[in-house]
Amino acid sequence: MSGAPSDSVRADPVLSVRDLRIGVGRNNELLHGVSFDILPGETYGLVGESGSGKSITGLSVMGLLKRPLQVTAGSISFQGEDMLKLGRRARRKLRGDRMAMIFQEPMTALNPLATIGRQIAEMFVIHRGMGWSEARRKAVEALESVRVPSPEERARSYPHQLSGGMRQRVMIAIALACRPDLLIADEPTTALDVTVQAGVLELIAELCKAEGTAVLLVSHDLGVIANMCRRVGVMDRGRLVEEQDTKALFENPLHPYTRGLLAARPRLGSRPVAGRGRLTELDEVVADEERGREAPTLTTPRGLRLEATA
Amino acid sequence: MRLRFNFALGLLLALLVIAAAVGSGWLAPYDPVMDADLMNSEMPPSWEHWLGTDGQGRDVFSRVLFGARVSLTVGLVSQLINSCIGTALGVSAGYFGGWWDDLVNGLTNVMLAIPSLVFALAIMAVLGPGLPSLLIALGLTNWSWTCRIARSSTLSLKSQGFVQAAKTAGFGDTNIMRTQILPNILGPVLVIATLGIGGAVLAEAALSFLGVGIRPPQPSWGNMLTDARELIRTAPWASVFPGLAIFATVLGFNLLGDGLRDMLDPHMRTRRT
Amino acid sequence: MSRPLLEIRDLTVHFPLPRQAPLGRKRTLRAVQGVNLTLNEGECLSIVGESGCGKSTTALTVMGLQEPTSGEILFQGKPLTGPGAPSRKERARIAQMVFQDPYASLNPRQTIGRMLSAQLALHGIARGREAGDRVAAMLKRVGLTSDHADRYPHEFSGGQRQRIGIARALMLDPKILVLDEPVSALDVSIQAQIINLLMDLQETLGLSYIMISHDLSVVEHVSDRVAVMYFGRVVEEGDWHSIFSRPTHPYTRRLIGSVPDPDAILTGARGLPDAAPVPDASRFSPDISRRPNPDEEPEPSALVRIGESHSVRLAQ
Repeated sequence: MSGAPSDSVRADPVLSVRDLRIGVGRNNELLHGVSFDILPGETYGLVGESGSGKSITGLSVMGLLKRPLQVTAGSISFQGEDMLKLGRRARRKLRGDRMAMIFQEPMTALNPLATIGRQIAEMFVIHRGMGWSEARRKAVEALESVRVPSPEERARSYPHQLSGGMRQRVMIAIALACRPDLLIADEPTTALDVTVQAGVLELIAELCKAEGTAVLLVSHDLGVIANMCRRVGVMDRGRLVEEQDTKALFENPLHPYTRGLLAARPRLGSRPVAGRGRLTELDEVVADEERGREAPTLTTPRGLRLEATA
Repeated sequence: MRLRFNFALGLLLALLVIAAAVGSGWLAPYDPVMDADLMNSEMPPSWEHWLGTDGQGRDVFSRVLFGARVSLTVGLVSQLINSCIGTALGVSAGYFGGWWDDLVNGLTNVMLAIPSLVFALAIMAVLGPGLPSLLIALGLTNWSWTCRIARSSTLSLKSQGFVQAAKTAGFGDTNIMRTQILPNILGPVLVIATLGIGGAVLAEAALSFLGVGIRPPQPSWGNMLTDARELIRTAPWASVFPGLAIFATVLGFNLLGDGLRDMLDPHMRTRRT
Repeated sequence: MSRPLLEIRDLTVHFPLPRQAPLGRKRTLRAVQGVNLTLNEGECLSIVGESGCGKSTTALTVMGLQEPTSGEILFQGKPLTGPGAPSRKERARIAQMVFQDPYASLNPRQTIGRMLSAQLALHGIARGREAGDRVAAMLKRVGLTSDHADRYPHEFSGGQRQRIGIARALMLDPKILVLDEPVSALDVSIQAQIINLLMDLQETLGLSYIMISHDLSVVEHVSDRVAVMYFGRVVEEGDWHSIFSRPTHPYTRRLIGSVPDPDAILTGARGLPDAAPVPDASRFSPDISRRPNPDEEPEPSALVRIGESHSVRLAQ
């Protein structure tokens, strides 16, 4: 681990979350101390069920938590700067520029009354101080980079004129317009058809790899996580119960909850030819009492693969 | 915090008006019609006549109290009629769609295009003045907003699973509208009705002011204003107090309606707590 | 072979589309075009495809919530559509539906008990105490308790709501259950519970299922037969094993290939089984390399048998 080649890569993490607690007021805590690091260029997955706290973790990093939710303790340091000590203006300047976010439902995240081109161009005008005409040209380029066919023409259309997959591509173009250092993708493909999902995921992976953008991918879908992430954190009931390299996690889950989650999903090709066979239910693997307990996160060190490829 | 204060103020004003209307028989020191004393006309407020007397020497305070009866009856009954018509038309139009929807929509648009006061004036001209015709006139002319809201809420509810499930379970259309749709749109309809009460009170005052509403000497805030019109310089109290009563009632029910809407709106609820 | 429980014959559903110009030509959305399907007793038939492929419209037509443009649906040989169709009430005893969204499918202003017993009263099955007992028994059957009957929907979790939705569908003892994406809105761990529940119920009550889904791993697990729909047509149909071990139509192959399967991804063994051989001089229809226009008359094609209970849509 202490070899020379890793030094350049194992630089400071882009994002370092420490003992993050989120609650409604002081008493009603929803997130009970979550800590994780994301290295430059790394794709980090947060997997869990609804209510596990994975989405509010992503939102709090972005600084988009909605009242009454608020960060009650802990720190979020982005490129060495504590986000929680930053003023509202300063955070707003970071958003869309150094860090960006993609949401599950692209239709609600896009402005229905502005053309696609304008919405992308806006990013360049606000964060790069470009003039509108130059920004528009860059917007068409951005659309081209997310492989939207006939980008010139598409830049002039409105969100409702596009299919779900195309809209999500536009969202990606907006998010990556200013080449952020961190992209937060919250269930980016959940609302899309399966055949479209793969293409969108591939696009995110490819663009982020080219730019060295770190990604925090929030998803309930283990397949998506396996497809995209180097490293995965498993969340359950407001706690990060386990963190491992993806391959290791699937091969050797440490926490009983993770084992339950892996066992419960119906897997393609797992049905015996004769008969139907019950699926394993989560609570057959992990008892309810075992969940939601105060316990340190089970963590394995990052694998060597990362240093080799990054 | 501010929202709750507004709602409380609205509730207080509304309760005050209701108390005045219900208790006018006991509270009023004088008879609003019979106790005319021309020797004591246009008296400023005093211990004997709290709010002074009008041009015919009648006690303004008593008349304002009795006027509340008319205003409140008009407000509540006409809004009840409006809500029933609007909900029935709106829900059925949204639920069935087709030519019926087109017809109701057209009717709603016509109603919205003609100022409702002008419409009410026309009906009053046909029916003649008096409380019953006032109720009909105002009850038939102000249902378009209720209808619109009821229709659009029904449209969005219609595609939801529980309405579809009720259909597949074999329930009839009227049953579905009554048990599945109506309870879910009652909130917004109630809000519009409350907001409409203020409008109806205002409309009553306007019609009575124009001389087609409540016929004198029966006191209503509107015809009190008409009577006191010429005394505005010599006896301003005769017009100021009925005016204030109208103002307080309209404000009260509007605040009440706003408050109800915010309380029933889940988005507002989460934002407030 | 016994007579099928339900037959869908040449079902077509068209929707009028708004004209592009004020005097432009009339356009129609061909949501379902000549679909033939059969459902045998005690069987689970899954219809898979992407959003807009016509699978939901087909299901709604079976439920009587959508009028077919042409074609017919027969239940035990008797027509469910057109003249001589049963009334809404009669139909309720034949087929019921479980909806996708457990949040929108329960009336927020009705207690669970009232919702369930109202059905019994409507059909004159039971009233009062007896209805209460039946409701309690049904709640237990779907894994809830009898005191849940007094509660309102917002007091339940997504998984519990879906159990309530299943209870509602079973209240009238229907023969067929149409499952519209029954688990896609649920958490992974809850999915397994609901799938197990559905499979248990099917066995104990002798139900027949039509399942609409885009989740192929669930489909593989639960189905007896699978029909793949693409732009309003069935492009491949067969028993589940033929479809998953020999996916033949390019669209079926694409669907199966795009399931994000962690094990395959991590082991790098991402391969599809071979396709079954098809007759020479024929090609698959429609051509999936370009997006078909749902407003156009589709090319002539036919479902051709390529195995014992496995057919695929081909054009000459």
